Amino acid sequence: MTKYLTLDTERCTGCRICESTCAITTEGVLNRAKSRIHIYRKDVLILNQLFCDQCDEHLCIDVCPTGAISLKNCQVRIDRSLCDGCGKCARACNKIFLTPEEHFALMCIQCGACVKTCPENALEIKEKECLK
Amino acid sequence: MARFHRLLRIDLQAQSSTIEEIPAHFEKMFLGGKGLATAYFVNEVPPGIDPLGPENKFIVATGPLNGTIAPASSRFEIVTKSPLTGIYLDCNSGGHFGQDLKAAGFDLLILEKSSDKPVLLYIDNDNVSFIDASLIWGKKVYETEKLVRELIEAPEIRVLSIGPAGENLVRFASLSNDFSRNAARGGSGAVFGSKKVKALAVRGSCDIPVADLKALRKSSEKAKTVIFNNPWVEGQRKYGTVRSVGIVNELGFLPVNNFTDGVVPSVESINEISYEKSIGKILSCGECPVACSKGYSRHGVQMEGPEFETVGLFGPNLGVMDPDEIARFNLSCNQYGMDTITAGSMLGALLDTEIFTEKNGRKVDIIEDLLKKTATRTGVGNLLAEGPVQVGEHFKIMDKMPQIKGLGFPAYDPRVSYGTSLAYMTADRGACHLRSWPVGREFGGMWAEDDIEGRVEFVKNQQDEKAAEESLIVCQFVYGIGLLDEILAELLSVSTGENWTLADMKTAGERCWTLSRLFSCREGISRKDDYLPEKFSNEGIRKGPLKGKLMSRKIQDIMLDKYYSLRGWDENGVPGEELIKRLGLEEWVHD
Repeated sequence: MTKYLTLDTERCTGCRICESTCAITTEGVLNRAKSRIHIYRKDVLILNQLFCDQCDEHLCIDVCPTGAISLKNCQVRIDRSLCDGCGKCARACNKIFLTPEEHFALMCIQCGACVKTCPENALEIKEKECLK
Repeated sequence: MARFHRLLRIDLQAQSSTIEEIPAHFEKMFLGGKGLATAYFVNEVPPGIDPLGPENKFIVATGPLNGTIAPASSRFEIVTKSPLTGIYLDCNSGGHFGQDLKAAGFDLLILEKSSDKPVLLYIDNDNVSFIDASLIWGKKVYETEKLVRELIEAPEIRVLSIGPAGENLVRFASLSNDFSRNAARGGSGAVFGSKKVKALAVRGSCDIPVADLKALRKSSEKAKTVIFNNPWVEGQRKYGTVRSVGIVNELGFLPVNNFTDGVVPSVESINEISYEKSIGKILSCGECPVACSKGYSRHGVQMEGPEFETVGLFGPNLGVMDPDEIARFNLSCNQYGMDTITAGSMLGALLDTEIFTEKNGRKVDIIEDLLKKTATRTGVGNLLAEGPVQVGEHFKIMDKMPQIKGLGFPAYDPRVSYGTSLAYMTADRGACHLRSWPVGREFGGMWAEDDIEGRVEFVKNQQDEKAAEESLIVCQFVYGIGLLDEILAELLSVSTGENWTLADMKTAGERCWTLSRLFSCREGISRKDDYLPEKFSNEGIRKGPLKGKLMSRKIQDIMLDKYYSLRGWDENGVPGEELIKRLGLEEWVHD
């Protein structure tokens, strides 16, 4: 099975606690720019929540020139040792992000830390049939 | 830690910027945020300058808790000289701007001089860009924010901008971020306009240095428990500030028909239940688990709000009980970039005269028209744009113009209590309900009916504590006004690695309060400016449970005497030498 993160847009208030939680959990620093989930303000009452949802398209895998992005055990993953931060994946898909220094790409790893800290219970890790 | 110790100084005329180090002893004395901004402001702005001239400075401050994971820590502060009151002004706004400015690596930002042409400032960490804003100049707030994002091609940036009112130097023009979150009072938007700054966009991607992240995570969890144990928070989360409409009406101090009646027969059409039907989205400031902001969406009107103050002042105060009309006025102010509080209280006094009556058209259309004329300085709007004092003097209605030091009344009738009156009379920026809020405790029976001293002491202490809270910077709606729980000292200490107690924090707040008064005294403020308008000392509230209640001049004098004495100010309301020495503020006193 493939695990993926989902977000209930009705519940999400845009507090971005998920962003700080993600950066601390995955990168060990308090820096929302290093989060793998981002909440942008799009319009007066509209938020834009972006994170990798393990889609079936795999554009990121297709465009990655170094083979850093691949399918491993049913999950799309980035091998940081192979990523040179070229940014092609982030340009192909707005759910992947580059670190501020553009050293490497960042993608949700379904660790579930943000699910636990979301005050609105808007986030959830779900499972679907294994990606191929 | 939790500080960058860095100040970004921007010269708008030369289009250049420098980064300075903030001395550690300043941080120790003033904590951060409001305190630190006030310390720089009072030091650098000479007496008598034109608030709308290039000599005025515009300071944006973050606090040590901004950007961290301390709950409700994304608010930011503005300190400048007010074009409305001519004295010290500070504004505090929610949204996400503060959190992101901090992430750009700055504790303070000082804008100096003026640009010759419209400019969009873009701070991307250490890089400052001066972008031609000619094409955005003239746009309303919502469109401005969207255009700025398009122009910079960065969806994640946060934008602080003005609308036409700020450009036209309306003296109560506001600054907006996240579309409808405003730093509204006292005309900070006009200062932006005078400097030809249409917008300030920020993108921050620095690591926020925290002394002990593990401890901060633990303290933040503890803080959440403190927050949700506050009985007030539940209603705030469900309905936002608008739920106060019913309570304030029931107790009899709602502004009705220019602060005359105190009550309306029913608030059913404008209370939280009525507005609940229009909630299109619930929104939150950064790192806030409460999410008190209710997004109104109805008949094409979209915004966060309306908040209690706007409902009270554009509603019953103007004799309007239609929730959608109130929302429409709110949207107009948001879009033009104007303070709803000063607009609502000033229009209340104006509509209470024979100048504008129903024979000029439907009242709601007159109001809408006056708001537009004010923002564009058209016809009578050119006078209204000058604010309550000029309007009051022109129409000879100063006695009933609800203002102190030029700042319009918030939506609570101060005659309700000794404490509320004193809080308005002595608030640093003019009539303001956000510096001390004793009325809940007064109704709760905290003091005997004749215990003026207890109330004065409470107001003084809460003002100092609130200044500290706005130096951290955390949200008062979430933590309560002041330093109510040890958790605030704990959050600050584990974040900074500095050893803070609530007592030290309060002293930092007292320094801030003293400096702002010194600044305003330099501008001519003294005891004479600390009184309620005549109407409030001569006429009682006309209806409701508080019928007949007024605040006599004699009582005001008794309160001021006690207040000044407690503060260490002389009988004229000027901070004394002994106080200045005790607080170590000698270097801020210029002869």
